[in-house]
Amino acid sequence: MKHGRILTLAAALALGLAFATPKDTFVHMTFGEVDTLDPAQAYDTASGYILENIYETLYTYKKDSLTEYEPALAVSYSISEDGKTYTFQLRKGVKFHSGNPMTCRDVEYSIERLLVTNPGDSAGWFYAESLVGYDVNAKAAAAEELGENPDPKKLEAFLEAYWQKIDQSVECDGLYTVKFHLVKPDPSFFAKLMYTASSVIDSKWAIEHGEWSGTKKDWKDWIGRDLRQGYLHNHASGTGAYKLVKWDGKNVVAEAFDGYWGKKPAIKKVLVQVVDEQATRIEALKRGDADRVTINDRATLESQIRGLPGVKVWEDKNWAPAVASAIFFNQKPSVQDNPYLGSGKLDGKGVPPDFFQDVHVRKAFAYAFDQDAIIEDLYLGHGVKLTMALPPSFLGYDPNIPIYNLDLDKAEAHFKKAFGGKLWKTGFELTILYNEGNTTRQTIAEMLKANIEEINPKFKINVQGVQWPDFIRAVSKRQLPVFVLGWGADYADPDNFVYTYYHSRGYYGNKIGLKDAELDRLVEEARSITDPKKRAELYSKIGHRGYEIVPFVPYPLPSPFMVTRDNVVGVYYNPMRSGEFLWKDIAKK
Amino acid sequence: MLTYAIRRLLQLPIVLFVVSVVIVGLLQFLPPTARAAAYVKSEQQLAHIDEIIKQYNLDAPFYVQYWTWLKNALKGNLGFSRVDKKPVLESIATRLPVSAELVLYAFLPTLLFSVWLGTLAAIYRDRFLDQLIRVLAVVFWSLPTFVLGIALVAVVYGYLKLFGIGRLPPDLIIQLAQQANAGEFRYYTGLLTIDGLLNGRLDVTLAALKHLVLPTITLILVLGAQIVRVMRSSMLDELGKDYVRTARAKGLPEKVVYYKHARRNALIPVITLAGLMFAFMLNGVVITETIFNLPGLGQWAAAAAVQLDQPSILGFALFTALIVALANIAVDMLYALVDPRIRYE
Amino acid sequence: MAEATLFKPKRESFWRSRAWRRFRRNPLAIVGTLIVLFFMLVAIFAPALTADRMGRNCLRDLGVKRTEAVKVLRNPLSPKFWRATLHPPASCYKIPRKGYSPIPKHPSKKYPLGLSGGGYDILYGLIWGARSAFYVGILVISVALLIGILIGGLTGYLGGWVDHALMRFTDAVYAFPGLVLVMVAVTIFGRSLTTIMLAIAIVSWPTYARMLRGNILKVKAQDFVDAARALGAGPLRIFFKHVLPNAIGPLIILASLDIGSIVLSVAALSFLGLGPEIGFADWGQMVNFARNWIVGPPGEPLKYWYTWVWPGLAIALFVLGWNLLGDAVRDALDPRS
Repeated sequence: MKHGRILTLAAALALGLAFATPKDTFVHMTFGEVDTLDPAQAYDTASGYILENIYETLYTYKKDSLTEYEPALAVSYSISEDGKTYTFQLRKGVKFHSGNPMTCRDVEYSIERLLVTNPGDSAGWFYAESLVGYDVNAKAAAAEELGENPDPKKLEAFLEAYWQKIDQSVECDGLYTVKFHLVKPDPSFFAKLMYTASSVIDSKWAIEHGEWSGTKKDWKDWIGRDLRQGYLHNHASGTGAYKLVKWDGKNVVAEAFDGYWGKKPAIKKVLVQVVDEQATRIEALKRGDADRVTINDRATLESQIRGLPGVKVWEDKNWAPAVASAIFFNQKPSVQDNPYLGSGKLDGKGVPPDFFQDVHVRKAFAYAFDQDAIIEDLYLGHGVKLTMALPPSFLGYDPNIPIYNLDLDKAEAHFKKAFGGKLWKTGFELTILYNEGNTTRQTIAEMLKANIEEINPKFKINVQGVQWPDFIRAVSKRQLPVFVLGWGADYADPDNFVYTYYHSRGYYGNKIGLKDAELDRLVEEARSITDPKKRAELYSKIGHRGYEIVPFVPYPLPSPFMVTRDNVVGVYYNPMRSGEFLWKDIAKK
Repeated sequence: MLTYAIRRLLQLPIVLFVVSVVIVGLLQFLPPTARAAAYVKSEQQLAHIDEIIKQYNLDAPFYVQYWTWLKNALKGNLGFSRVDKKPVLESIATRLPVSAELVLYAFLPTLLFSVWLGTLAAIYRDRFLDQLIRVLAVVFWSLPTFVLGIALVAVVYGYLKLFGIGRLPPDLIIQLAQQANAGEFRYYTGLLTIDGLLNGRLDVTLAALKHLVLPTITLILVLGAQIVRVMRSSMLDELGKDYVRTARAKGLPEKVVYYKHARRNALIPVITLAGLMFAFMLNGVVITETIFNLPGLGQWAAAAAVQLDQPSILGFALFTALIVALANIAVDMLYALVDPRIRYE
Repeated sequence: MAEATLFKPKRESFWRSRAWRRFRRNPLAIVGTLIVLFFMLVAIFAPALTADRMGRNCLRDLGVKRTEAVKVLRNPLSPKFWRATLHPPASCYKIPRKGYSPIPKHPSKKYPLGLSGGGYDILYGLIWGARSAFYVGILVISVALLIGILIGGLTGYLGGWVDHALMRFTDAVYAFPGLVLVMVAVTIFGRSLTTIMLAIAIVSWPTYARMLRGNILKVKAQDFVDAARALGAGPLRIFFKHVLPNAIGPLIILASLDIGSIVLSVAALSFLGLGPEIGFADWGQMVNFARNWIVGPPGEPLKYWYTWVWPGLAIALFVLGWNLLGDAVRDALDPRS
């Protein structure tokens, strides 16, 4: 009998009645794998999440604020009168994870490395455009300016000049003073420096491990290099409160850094685990095997997470993500081999390329879109409408700009005026694409279809879901007459969004053939002055103009939320942080 | 027979060549912008797609791309896995042990379990037991694997609080990562159950086993269902043969007839199946690894296919083709051993 | 050469053959047949059955107004009934949505099986899913059979180095990780149903080629072939009149019974994100919708059971039916029991 009981006990232990993770350990289960841990290469949230905890920048956001900053690796700064020189005084006594001390040389190295490599798929472009004058790396810039087969002498000269620009853009004045020289005033430069791409890397350690020497000698080998093949891709020596223990596939393990210059964090060990299947993540949360899990959408949150014992949902109606998304109307779709325009004529079987150049068509579509339904049905009531293509928490957002709400009568009226009344008689047919898996965009497309087709039986809209590769191909080639896309903030400055959306050379403005002289003028002015009040006024004007000519319709943002076990404290929400909050600021009771 | 084996082995490179050409060829149907998809993960990166295309040489013609790939492959460089952010060979090396461990613990039980049930079904043909077994086999086979998997996760792991997901519990993951860095724990094989023993860490082995229970059960149920049916029909074939009638006529007890004679011969098609089971298991493994969060080859394949990660897809296809081809050869050898009627020149 | 008149034994009537009698007496065979028949009827009469819940685009493409839908589509005298039944437009395969809420809704009077996440009508999806199951299954098997018969027939007829080369080629395709090829093909050529069907067919034909070749070899070795040859029949005639018909028969029967399992491959693809476009009436996809709803809120774990039980049951029954039928046919044709 005794044997039986012991056996049962042993079996029970073996089967492992799990106990929650220890108090000094934080386990986060999410989806979305780290792309790379090289700050100069990473440009996605999953990578940024790890980087913001193991590396640091000169200044950083103060907890959850987008507008208040606190000194991190720099203790003070000043900007020259003409706005082209930024001087930072660095913090003394900071150590890297390797034990090396941080000096100006490391800052200089980190930024120059970013400018030298500037891979095509990295964030280097918005540093380079301010510091060097080109947004692409040296080789790509040469190709743009000199063509595919340039005269070797000209190429040499060009590269030499480019190097000079890099060299002169960052300078050290002694061990603890660093100066940045911009090519033109850029009010968003300070905000840009908070992005993980400008993290300070341990230059001595990096060079020892085969990274760029930091000098002109081998810089050409590193131009545009894919840094995912380098040492910094999966090894790190930063100044952050945590050091990287290991990154293998789906798991990132980090531990608290003993030599950290700041306050010692309560959490000593961190595991970030990628678990693709949401159902599995939720079970782990219930069991206490995970302290935080990422939940895909509001529907799951409301139906499966709310009310779970031991689980806390963090939310606040004032929170808003640093994202802006819109339904775009393409005024200049490409005509060659374009399957999405149908017949290409105003004959009821397609759309002519100038379809959306008629403001009545754009307004009609805008009035056919049900903003409230998105919030009610998709976000279950937790969402916020956007008045312009800018996140509500950003400088310059004007909540008083009117929004196009569903009004089928007005839509009909505008359709009847379109093309001098001809559209109403002939009808049209077009295709709206969304990328598969994105239910929000799919729903928006289907909603538009349902509402517009109801107005006039001659209006036909096909909604098609395509794989991401096809989707980006179509957008890139400007084939889509209507598409739904968004933009996440790179840095906390409104220009990051406004230029992209409203300027004729901005990424989206260009893709939809938007060319409004007034908008261009306003955007350019706003990005050249530093006075926040004046800029805010300009942005408000931009938003109003956007309402008038409606080149696109911003759609509501979902209210963000976070889910953790209820013994986690210190959580806050910063939309610019890839992980919303930093590990060093939380603890477990 | 040896010459036959050698000849078959020599034909392997041809198979691999064809496989690689087909896959690289298929991917050429996509224009560079779409193939750049493997490198674009966000709208921001979309903005710079032309640079991305230039950077990765995505607009070179087919034979150039294939030749570059081939040159590198022969040097041992199979390219860089975008999905895993490491060289393809390294991906295979790290992921193979994970899938191998899962398959290892599922293989034998599946085989034994299905042979036993299949035999029973044949012996009690058309009676209740047979019908029950057949219906259950079909139900488990037709159940989409992920339904079974998710149900197991919810009920056994979530509700009953038994076993675990992933390969190890979080605290052991952290501990082993720190210890591996410090050289205190060495991954000799990559199979945690064995490495645990080799490092003298029984707790690691036990934890790994605990975490293998659910995925193994899922695989056994889904795969076993298919093999039960094959075993049954092959057993029935055998039982209809003349020598069985003779044995019965000789007065041998049923048990001897079944187990000593019929079953041994019925095992021939099962050998085929067992040999191909590694390939079969791929389907189940892809989904099982996703649900239970095991970083194996199946999970890699699914991600690579959806993201159009060319080097990964190629590496994976070649590797599997190699294994299946080898398994085929081994199976044919086994046949010759078991069935004296088969002879190869 | 004069045509030899063989004494032809009288062909036994099918209905009195031993095979049929054995089949008839097997209860599982009856069950299997009934299940398959049931699904067949549901598939054929899908438009009529779902006339009261059709989507707007389907009605528009059929040229039927919503108010008259039920009357017209259930009336065999109306030409629209036949149009819908025999060749419905593609838009009818899209499951209509009621609202866009991602949370499933319980069965109600209007939606007796409930609404899946995203507002999809489960009953509609189930019925048209039967249709697509047959459509996809039959097409895939047909294409696979065509290729398999072509290649298997060639090797069986020609023999020699052709046999060798083609068999090696078949082995190569067989060794090909089928799922990977399907996944790659679908990602490249798009998630259209045609791509998926072609890809699965291309991966399935080696089995049939091998089977046919094996059958041909077996038949070739039989006495009546020798007899025909002794009587002076030429090789082509022997092949097409004697060998092939006997070799193909069992192959086609057994292949057609694989129809049930195609549904499973498509379900696996949906799970991976590579199946037909979202909203298409396919059982596998419907189960995939339910992926996040298999476990419900705390305290009511089976709250959304209807999202996955109904399509799951459909798949299981469909496969079961074909399987029982298949086993029964195999048993009935087996000369040895």
